[in-house]
Amino acid sequence: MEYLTKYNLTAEDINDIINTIDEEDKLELELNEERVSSIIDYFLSIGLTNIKDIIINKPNLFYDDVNSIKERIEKHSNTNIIELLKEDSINFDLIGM
Amino acid sequence: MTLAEIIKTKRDNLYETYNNINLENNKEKIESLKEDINKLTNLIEILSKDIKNIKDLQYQDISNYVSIKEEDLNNIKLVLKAKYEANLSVDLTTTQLEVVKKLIEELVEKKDSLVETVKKEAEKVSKIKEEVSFIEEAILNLEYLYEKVNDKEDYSLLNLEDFKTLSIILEDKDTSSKIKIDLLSSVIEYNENIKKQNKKILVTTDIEEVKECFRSFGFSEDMLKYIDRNKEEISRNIDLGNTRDILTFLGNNKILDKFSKGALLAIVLYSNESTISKRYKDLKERKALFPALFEMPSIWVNNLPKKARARHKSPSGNRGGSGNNHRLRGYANMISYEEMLSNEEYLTSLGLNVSISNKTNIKVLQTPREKIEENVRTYKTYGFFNRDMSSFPPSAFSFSKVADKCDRLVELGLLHNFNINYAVSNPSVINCMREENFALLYKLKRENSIEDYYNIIFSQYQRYRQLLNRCLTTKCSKKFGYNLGTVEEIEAFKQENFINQMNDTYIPNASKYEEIITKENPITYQDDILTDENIKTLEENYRVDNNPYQYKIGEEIICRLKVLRCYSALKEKGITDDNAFLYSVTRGMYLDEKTFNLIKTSVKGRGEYGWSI
Repeated sequence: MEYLTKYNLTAEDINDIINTIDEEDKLELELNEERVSSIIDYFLSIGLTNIKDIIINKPNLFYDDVNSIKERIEKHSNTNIIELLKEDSINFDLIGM
Repeated sequence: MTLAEIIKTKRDNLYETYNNINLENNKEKIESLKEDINKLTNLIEILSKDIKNIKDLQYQDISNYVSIKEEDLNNIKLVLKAKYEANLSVDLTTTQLEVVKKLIEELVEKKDSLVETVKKEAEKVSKIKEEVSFIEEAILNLEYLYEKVNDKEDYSLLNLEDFKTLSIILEDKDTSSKIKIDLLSSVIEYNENIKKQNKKILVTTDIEEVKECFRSFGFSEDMLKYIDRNKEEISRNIDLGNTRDILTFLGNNKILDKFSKGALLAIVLYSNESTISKRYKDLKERKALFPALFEMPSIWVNNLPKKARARHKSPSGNRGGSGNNHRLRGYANMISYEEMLSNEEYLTSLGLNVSISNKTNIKVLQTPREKIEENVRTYKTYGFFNRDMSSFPPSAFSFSKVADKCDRLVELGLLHNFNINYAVSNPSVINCMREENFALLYKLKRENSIEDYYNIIFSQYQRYRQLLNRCLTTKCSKKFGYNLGTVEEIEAFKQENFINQMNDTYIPNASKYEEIITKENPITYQDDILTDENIKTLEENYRVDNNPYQYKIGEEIICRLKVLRCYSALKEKGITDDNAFLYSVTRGMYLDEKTFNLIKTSVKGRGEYGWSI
């Protein structure tokens, strides 16, 4: 998961992630760098900078592909969902993700 | 053939047999026969009760079971209708009475014969189940043995357990004598090599050859780099012939470029063309070739159900693991496709918006069914199903220890307290709340009025809806004036502010009770627990009106379901003493000495059970 360092995650952050998420999530993140990176790039582009929290709290998001995530978030663009997601990654719950 | 090859071939053959076993037809047949039996039982009961009931009988309802002619039945019905509906003075003839008698006898005979058939079919199903179980066990033993002989770090000799596994091949009628002799000589060779050199001679493939193979199928540098990153596992497990067959098949069917790199490598390592083509044909026929499935190798690999794997005790301890040398294998073996489909069907039936075509759902679909069902029971018990389930995040059904977390959320006023139901709208809090933040919340709630407490913990967006301050779902507590960054800081915080009532000095035998509850993991309770004297005291004095989730002692909320489910589970084990009761009341709480003593005196009926503080 070293590739996460390019998103300014420290070794300690990565360690924290590894110690928190389960084995299946770890495999998904380790073996799908491209997909995971494209999702993180999208999150950063919409101002979600709490990447570590998102990975820890919502690892299931990284199983999906970026277009589907984008579509699901944009579906709620008339709400303040981005602000809520910036506030706390747990708020992905509010849009059923 | 090498030892590893012989083992792998046998395992693949067993998988083929396993995949061809179909219990569904037998089960369907039994179900249909049972329906017939029920129908016959009803008919016999109605007709035996009163002969006049025959007038309402439809010929098509009995024509499959008895030899009576339609015309004869119609004549009988006519007479009975004339007698009972038109009140005419007519009656059945002796011959007609004989026909009726024969009709009932034939129905009884038919029913008996169907019961006998069901019995035989059930025996068949049970035999097939035994066979399935035997094959699952054999496959898993062969898989473990294959890993052992292929693991360069495992220097142990083949032992008795391994020989038992190999007897699966030696006793197999369909395995040729030559292979059996090859097997025996390769076993001798294997053990001698390990004894002599204390190292293994493993058949590995040059990674450059692997890369060349992928290059010839048009793969770019990206894939070759990926191969390099996983070279150890690949060079030990790849069969280039098998790889070419798979890549050719996928290429011919124009799906080669649909697979993610990790999925494709896991597939070429741990599957074969026959399994893949079978799965492809099946998915295509059902129009279910969703893009998501090309990123899930376990769909394209033979996999036993998780419960079979969980049942299985590895004869040689822990193998596999998640290190770099086994990660593609772990990826390939995540779950069987059939289990995912069954989970999808089950969750959808509960009103959840879940689909295998949506990859964010994959995590929950890969969750063992037992865990999903346990979580469904828990969410129902704790009142989560009173919301629109179509927008409920499905991943919540993959969480662990849900009931324990819900107990705390109730006690912290985040679930079923007045109009505050944060956890129902944000169920991920169950998984996201860090342990130290649970501790922090218990402290904050105790130190503030409930209004101030909610003002502190809910974020500035509260005016729109209840949103927990994000500090509480992340590693950040400075906002509340505490520094809970490192393990040491967290430990110091806990020691400074709380007692450990699960320690036997506070509640004798608490650790023993905790062991029982952790093992039993009760979700609900037996109704008779409500007649227990201790519980009755709580119910009468501390139950909060119109709130089935709370007891309240002073300002301290105690989760009612926690007390009932824990105490009920202990009572089931024959433990009903006062310590068990106090343990059930205080389990999982972060308590200071003063609050513990308050709870203790309160629930003990002011010391009348001989408790002293």
